[in-house]
Amino acid sequence: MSDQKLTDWRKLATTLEGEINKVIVGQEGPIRLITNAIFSRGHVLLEGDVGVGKTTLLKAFARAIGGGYQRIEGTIDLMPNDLIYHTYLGEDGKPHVSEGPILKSGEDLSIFFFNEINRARPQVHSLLLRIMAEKTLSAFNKEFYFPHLIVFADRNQVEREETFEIPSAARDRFMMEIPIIIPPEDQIMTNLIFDTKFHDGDKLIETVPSNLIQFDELNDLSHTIQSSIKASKSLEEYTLNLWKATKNPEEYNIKISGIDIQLLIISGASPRGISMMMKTARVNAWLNNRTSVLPEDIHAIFHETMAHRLVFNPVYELRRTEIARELSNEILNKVSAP
Amino acid sequence: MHKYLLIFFLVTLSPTIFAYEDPTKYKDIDPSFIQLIIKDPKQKVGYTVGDKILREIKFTVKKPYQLVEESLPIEGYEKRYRGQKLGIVLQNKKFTKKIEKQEVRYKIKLIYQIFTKNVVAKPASVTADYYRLINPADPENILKYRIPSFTFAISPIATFGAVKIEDDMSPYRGPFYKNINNEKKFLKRAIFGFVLILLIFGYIWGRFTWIPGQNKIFSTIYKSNKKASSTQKNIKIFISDLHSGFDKTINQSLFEGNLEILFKKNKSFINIKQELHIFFDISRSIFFENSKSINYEKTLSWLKSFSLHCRMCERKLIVDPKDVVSKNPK
Repeated sequence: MSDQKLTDWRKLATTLEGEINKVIVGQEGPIRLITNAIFSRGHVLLEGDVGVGKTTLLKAFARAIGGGYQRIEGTIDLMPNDLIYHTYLGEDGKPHVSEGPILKSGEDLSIFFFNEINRARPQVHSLLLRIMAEKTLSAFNKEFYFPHLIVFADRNQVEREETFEIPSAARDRFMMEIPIIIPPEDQIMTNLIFDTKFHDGDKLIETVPSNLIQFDELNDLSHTIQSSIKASKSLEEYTLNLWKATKNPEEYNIKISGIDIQLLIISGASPRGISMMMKTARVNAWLNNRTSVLPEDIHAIFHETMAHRLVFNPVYELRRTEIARELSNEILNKVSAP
Repeated sequence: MHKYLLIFFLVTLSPTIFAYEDPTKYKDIDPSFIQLIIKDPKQKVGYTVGDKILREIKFTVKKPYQLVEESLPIEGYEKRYRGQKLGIVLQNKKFTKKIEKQEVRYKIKLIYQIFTKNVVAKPASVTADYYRLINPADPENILKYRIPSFTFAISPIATFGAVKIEDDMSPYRGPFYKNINNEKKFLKRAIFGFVLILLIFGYIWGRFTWIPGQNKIFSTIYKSNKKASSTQKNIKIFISDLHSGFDKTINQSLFEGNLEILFKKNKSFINIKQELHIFFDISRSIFFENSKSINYEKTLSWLKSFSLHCRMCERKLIVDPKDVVSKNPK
């Protein structure tokens, strides 16, 4: 793929971002990160309260990138086969089998949204994680492929009753965890209340141009981006130090008040995690019209790609959101580049 | 018993006997046997009751003669003139003796104290003393040598008629002292002033950085790189040093995105904001973009000027806006 094509794709990416920003207001940061994830081909965990616009945001992206969009609600009685098929009695009085959300769009499935993933049982997680990792599924004595699939999942962080926390191995499969928060600006909040265009999500999404980019070209594009954006020796050293700092923060003089830093980390970032981080850093450099990765590109995605992977001591697990943010800030503050 | 009484009587009266001793009793010694140096006070007037006079006498006697040490003035003896007490008492005497091959050297320190005063200035003197000398080979023949007198003036405490202390014993006035309160006050103020100045300097030392040796991060960086040649390696070292200087300044890593932390820490850096952006631009080009279109010579000279500006900012000085470079040297 030529440089010109990369430039054209960047323009498309910027247009995509701009269009989504028009319908989802006050979420420029998360929209940039989701755009990044789409071009990095990584799965995303969304973290946020109910009703903040996560579904609308994903629907808008699905419309713009084309391909199939499916969603499922996590419930305690959800079983793995509910993702694959469901049975019903047809008008002819005979039992019928219909595809579940995973199979419905076939190979064209581009976005699968698992709402409240932590309400589903581990068996369901296990199936989903296989699909995420291998992009295949065996069912009805047949192998199904989902080459363009990106999974978005949302965790209910408020309620703990009847939930199954996603294990660290499963969290590690997600490229990013993106927090979606209510925009703090009064003007945006007022618009969300009084501007009637925000009241009907489906209608709002219709304003996003459909099939703005070709979802089935994204895999190739992602490879091209990864191979054409360079990382210098200095950046390699910097990234390596960041990785080490996630494992042994005390060696980098990282301190968090009220936290015993030597006890905090049970396991730092995995090789898969750090390579995912680098992938997104490259895409960030590409989105910013650069040919080399800079420390700033890493800073832009460090927290979102790293925080959910770190395994904390159970003593600190309940304060994960707050501690993880402080830790990633401290790591970036203390590790020098070059 | 009578014998002992007689000895006691003679011993107690000996100073008196000495005082009345007739100077004409002994012959004078040939002056060539004596060398005399007397150091008297330079002050000749203004003495009054309580004042002390120090005479230092270096007295050298050539052999075969020796000084009869008993002829030296006796402590506590009050000088007399023609039998009249002068009110000048020998308060202290120090005496050393050094025997040489050909002579004996004596060092005599005599401190006289004045116990007299007058309502008008009057002449007074430490009268002449006669030191006796003896030749051990001829002990019967005692000779004498005259130590000259020291003449001075005793002055009144107050101008005549102004104050008569004897009649002025008012209970409302304390005794007269030699008052050094003013000097004490001055000394206290001087010490206070000195300490205050020290504190101010200490404050400046700690707070501001123009004193050499304080907060010298950027001056050290400038010093260690100013003679570097314009190679890529040297430029990399220079930039790394500057990065670490900034990191030390704000106690965390400084990136272009968090320059505000630096400005918060030291407002002087706001004046070179443009240069800071250029610095990060250069750093990126060198370390992360491997850009080949870099003029190393220009870049090095720019980095030197930039590090000087950083040094000024570190010292909280304001960089002249005319000196701030707004263009990347590459």
